[in-house]
Amino acid sequence: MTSSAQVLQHNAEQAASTLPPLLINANRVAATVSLGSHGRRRAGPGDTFWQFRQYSQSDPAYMIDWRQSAKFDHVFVREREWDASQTAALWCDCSPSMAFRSSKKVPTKSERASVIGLALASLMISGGERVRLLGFEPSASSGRLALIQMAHNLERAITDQPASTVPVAQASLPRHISVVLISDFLFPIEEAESALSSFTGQASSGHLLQILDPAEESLPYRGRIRFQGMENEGSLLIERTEDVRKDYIGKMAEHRASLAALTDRLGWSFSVHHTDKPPHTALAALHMRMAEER
Amino acid sequence: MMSLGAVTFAFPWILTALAILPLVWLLLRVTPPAARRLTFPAIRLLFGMVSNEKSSARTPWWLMLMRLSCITLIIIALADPVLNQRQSMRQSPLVVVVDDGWAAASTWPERQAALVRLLESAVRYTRPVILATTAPADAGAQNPLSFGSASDALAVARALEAKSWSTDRQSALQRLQDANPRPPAESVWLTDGVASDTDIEMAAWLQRLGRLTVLTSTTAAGPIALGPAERVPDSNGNTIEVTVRRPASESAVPMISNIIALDQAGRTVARAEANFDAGTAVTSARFVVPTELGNLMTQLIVENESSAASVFLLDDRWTRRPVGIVSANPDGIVTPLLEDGFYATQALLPYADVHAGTIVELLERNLAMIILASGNRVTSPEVALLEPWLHRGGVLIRFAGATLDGNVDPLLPVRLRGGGRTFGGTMSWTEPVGMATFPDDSPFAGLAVPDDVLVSTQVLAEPSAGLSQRTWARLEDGTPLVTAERRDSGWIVLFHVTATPNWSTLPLSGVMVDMLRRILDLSRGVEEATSVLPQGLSAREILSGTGQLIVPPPTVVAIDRDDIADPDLGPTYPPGYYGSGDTKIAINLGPSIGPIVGQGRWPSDVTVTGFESVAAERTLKPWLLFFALALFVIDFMISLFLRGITPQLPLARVGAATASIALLILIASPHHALGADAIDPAVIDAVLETRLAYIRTGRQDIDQLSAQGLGALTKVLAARTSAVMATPADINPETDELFPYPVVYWRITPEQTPPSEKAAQHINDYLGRGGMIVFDAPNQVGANANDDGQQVSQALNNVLARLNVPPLVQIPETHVLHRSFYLLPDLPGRFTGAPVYVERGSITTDGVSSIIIGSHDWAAAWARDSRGLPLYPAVPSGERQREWSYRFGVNLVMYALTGNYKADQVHLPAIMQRLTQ
Repeated sequence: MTSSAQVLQHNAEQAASTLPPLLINANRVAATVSLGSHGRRRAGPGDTFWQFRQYSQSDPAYMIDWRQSAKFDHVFVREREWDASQTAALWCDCSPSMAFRSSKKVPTKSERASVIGLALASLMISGGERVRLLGFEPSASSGRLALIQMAHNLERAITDQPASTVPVAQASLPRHISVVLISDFLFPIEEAESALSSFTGQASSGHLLQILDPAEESLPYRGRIRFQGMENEGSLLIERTEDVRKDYIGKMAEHRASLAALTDRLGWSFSVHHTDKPPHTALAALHMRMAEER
Repeated sequence: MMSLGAVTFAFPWILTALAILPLVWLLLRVTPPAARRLTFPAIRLLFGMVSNEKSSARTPWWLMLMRLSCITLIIIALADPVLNQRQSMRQSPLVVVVDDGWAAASTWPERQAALVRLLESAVRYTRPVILATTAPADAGAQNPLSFGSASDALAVARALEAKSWSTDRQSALQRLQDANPRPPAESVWLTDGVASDTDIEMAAWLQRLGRLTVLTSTTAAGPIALGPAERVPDSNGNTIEVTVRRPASESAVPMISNIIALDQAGRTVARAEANFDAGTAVTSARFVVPTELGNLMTQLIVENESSAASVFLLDDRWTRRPVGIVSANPDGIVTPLLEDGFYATQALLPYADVHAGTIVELLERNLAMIILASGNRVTSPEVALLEPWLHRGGVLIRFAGATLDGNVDPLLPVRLRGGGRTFGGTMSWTEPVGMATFPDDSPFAGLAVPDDVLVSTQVLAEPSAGLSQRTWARLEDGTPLVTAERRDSGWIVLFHVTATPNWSTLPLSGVMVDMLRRILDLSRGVEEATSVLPQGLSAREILSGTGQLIVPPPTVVAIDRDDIADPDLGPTYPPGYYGSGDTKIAINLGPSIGPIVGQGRWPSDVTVTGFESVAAERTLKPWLLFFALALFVIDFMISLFLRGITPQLPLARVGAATASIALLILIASPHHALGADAIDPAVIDAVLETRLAYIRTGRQDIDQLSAQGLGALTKVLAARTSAVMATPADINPETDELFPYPVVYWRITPEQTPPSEKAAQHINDYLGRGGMIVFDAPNQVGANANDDGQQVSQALNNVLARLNVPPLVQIPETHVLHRSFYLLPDLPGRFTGAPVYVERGSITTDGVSSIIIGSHDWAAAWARDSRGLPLYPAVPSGERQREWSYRFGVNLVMYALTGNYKADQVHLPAIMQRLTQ
C-alpha cells in the first residue's frame, strides 16, 4: 500500500471516528451493534434473543430453554432474531473535473469525495455491512481489508482521473442494496437520469451527495476571463465575469433543482456539500439518512 | 538649458515628448487587458452566457497610472536632469584660483572637496579651465598657465595638497596675466582668508574677466601660527614662551587655543593655553616644565590645527643644554674625587650634555654654559674667545682657587681682594662658617640651606655699591659666597670657593647640584654660531603642509648657513630640521610669517560664500532610469498575475534557499565559527590531571630515559605522598603550552640547540608566571654517549643564553629543596657531588626558584624498566644513593607544588623554645 493511500485511509477513519459506528437501521438493540449486523425483527438465525415461545412438536430438543421451562408449567423454546447484513454500493467521482479547487485553502473535490465516501465505508464496514465500490472490480466487501483496498483504489483513481462515467446498475450487484453516489453532478441531467434509473430495479434506497467547490457555487471572479473546461468541453471568453454571475447562480440552482426532482422521483435522497465546510456535517447527514431508511 | 528649482535639464527639448502621454493613455484605455485564463469545471453552465457591456473590461486606473509614470520617468531621464547645478556662465571659460599655502591647510579637505565639485561641474559642460595655485609649487620652473581641459584640471585638483609655506599672490597674478585669458570668463577664488597686498588688485583683475565668486571657510576661526618662542629665565625650572598669532580682525572673538608640547614619540609632554582677547591677534603661551621634562620636548603644536605654521619645532638649543667644564687636567676627569672638574661634572650629568676640555676646544662647539673648575686665571686669548660667547648669551661659572688671587683677569663679576680668608685653621680662632638663607632676588631663592655646608676658606670681594645686588648666596657672616654679573645676554657667576671640597663642603652637598641647575636654567642657550656650522645644511626632515615631519623630497636643496637666520621659506627651503650628523637646526615657518591679517573687504559685486555653497551636482538620470525599470518589472509581474500566471515560488522554498545560502556563508568562514576557540586536546588533558613534563630533546634514548625516570618518580610520589599524578607528558616548547605543568624536566644533551625565538618566548612566559624548569646537564664520564661532557655544559650555556635567567646561586644547605618533604643532606642523582644552582631570592615568585640547574642525571637514577628494575647504576653509592635521588625527586615535586612554606621551619627551634617556656 502506498503511503498516500495510507494517508487517505487515515484521514477517512479520522472523519469516521467522530461518529458512533454507523448502522443502517440503528434503532435495533445495542447488542446487535457489537455484532455489526441488524436483525430482521423476526425469529431466525442469529445470536440475539428474540422471544420465548411454547414448544411445538417440530422444534428440535436443543432449542428448549430449560431454565425458562423450569419456571412454568410449559416448555419454552428460546428463539433468536434473524440477522442479516446489507450491502451498500458506493461511487466516488474521480473524473478530471473533480480535481478542481478554487484556492489552496480548500481540498479538491475528488479528495473530499473520497474522504467522505471512505468514511462512510469505514463506518459501515465496522458495523458489519458490506460495501462495494462502484467502478472497480468487485473484491472483498467487508472487513478491514476491504477498506484498505477501497482506499487504494480511490487513491489510484484520484491520480489517474478516469473519464467521468456515471455508473449504471450491474448484474453482479445483489438486490436491495443502498446506492451512494458522490460527485459534483455537473454532467447533463439526462446522463444522470439514465444512470439513476438503471438502479431502480436493484436498489432499495439511494443517496446523492453533490460535492461543490465554493467558487462553483458563487462564481466569485471578476473581469475578462477565458474559462477552460476540464473534460474537453472547450473554452469560453467572458468579458466581464461579474455580469454573468447572477445568470450562472440561477443556472446552477436550476441544475440542482432538476437533480433534486430526479432523486425525489426515485425516492432517493439528495444533499450538497461544499469543500470549504468540514466533511463531518455531510457525513453525519448522509449517515442519518441511511440510518433512517428501513 | 532649462531649470526647474534645483533641477536643471541638459536636453530640455526631449521633455516635449511628454506630450505623447495622453495618446498613450488613450491607447492603454482602448486596449483591453489580456484575458485571464481559468480552468473551471462548471463551464457547461456558462456556455451561452454573454456579458452585457462589450468594452467593459479595462485596464485598472492604477496600472495605467503606473505605466504612464514609467514612460514619464524615461522621458525625463533622457532629458538628463542635474540637481544643484551651479548657476553660472556655463559655456564660458573658468578661471580657478586656489590658495594652497600654509593658511589653507587647516581647512584643506573642505577646500579641496569644493574645488573638486566645481571642476566636476566644469567637466560636465566641457568648459576650458585655468587652475592657478597661489603658493609657489614645488621647486622648479612654474609652467605658464593656459586654458586646459577641465578633466586635466580635475586630476590636478585631486592631487593638490596644502603647502608648508606662504602664498605668493603677486606672482600668481602675474602668471594669470601672462596667460591673458580673454573675457568673458567666470572666476572662482578659493581664498584662505589671510589678506595680502595683492588681494584687491587680483579681485579687480578677475572681475574684469567676468563674474568673480570668492569661496572661503565660514566655519574655521582662521589659521593659527606659532612662533617665535624663547626661553624665559625663571627660577622654577624651564619656561618656554611661544608667541601665538591669529589673523587680525576687528571682529575677532575671544578664543582659547591649546598648545601642546610633544616628545620624540609624539606623546603629550605639556600643555599650555593661549588666550586671545577680543580683537587681539597676538598672544603667547607659557610652558613651565621641570628641566627633565623640558628636555623631552621636540615640538609644540596647536591643538586641532594642522598646518605647517601650527607646528613649532624645537631643536637641541631648546632641550639638553651643552655644558663645558674646563678642568686643570686637559684630559678630563682621570682621577675621580680629586680632580677639580669631578664634582661639577657629577652634578650636571643628569641634566645636561657635559663636555670636558680646554676653553679653546670647548668653544668650537655650541655651549650654553662653561664651568671653569680649575680656579686658574683666564689667559687673554681665552678672554678674547669667551667674551663674544658671553655676549651671545653664554653663562660662565668660575670657581676660586689658589691662583685666583685678586683681579687676575676681566672675567670676574666682582672685584676681589688679594689674598683669601681662612676660618678654623690650625692657627685661627674662628670656626668654619655655614651658609645663610639665599636672598629673595637670587636665582637660588627658595632652595633649602643645608646646615652641613661649612666654608673654611674663601676669596673675598671688594666691598662696592653693587655688591649686594650681585650676590646670589652669602655665608652666615654676610660675606658673598656666589656672585654674578650680567654681561650682555650672558652671565658670569663666581663661586668664592673651590670646585673641590678643599675649601668647603659645598661641592659635597646636594645644594650644589640645585644651584648649578638653577644657573643652567638661567642660560637661554646660545645661538649656534654660524661659523661653526658646515656651509650647506641639507634637510633632515621637513614639515608637510599638514604639519607632519616627512622625508624631504629630492627637490629640497641644502640651505646655506648664512640663510638660517632669515630663511626664504618656500618649495626650495621648506620648514623642518636641517643639518646632518650632530647638527640639527629647526627652521620654523611661524616666525617668518609677517603680520597675519584677515581678509575683510571685497569689491561690492563680488559674491563671497562658503565652500559648502558649491553643492555637489548630482545627475538624476541613472536614478530615474532605475525607477522606470523597477516600475516596468512591477508592471510585468502584475500583468502576469492578472493573467492568472503566478510564479511557482512558494515561500518555503525561498526560505530554504536563504537558509542554505546563510549556511554556505557560515561554512565558508570556518575560522569565525569554529577555529577561534579550539583548544589543543593535550592541553585539556594536562589541565584536567596534574602531571610532570619533560622537554623533548629529539634524541630517542634521552627522551625515553626522561619518560622512564619521570614515570618511576610519579609512582614513587603516588606511593609515598598525596601527590597522585598522571603519566608524564613530553612537550615541545615551540608548539606546546608549558603552563599546565608544575615542573618541567629538561635533560640537556650535547646536541641540544638553543631554543627558537618562539620557544624561548614560551619558556620565558612560563618562568615569569611561576613555572619551574629543572635543567639536568650531566657532564660526568659515562653520562653521555661519547663522553662529551664539555659539550653538554656548552649546550646548557647556549640554552640559558636565550632565556631570562635570574641571578643564580649555589644551593645553600638551608634551602627548602633540602627539606620540603625529606630532610636531605645533598641532592644526588645517578651521580653526586656536583653543585646545584637555584635562583637567588626571587621576588616575583615569593622566593621559589623558577630554575634549578644540576648535573646529577636525576632521571637516569629514577628510571626503571617495565618490570620495575632500575636501568642505570647509581655511582658511587649504589641503591642507597638511588633512594636518596628518589627522595630528592619527591622534594623537588613538593617544592614545585607547595612552594616555600617549609622554609618557615627555620623558625621551628625558636617557636619550640618559646612554646616550652
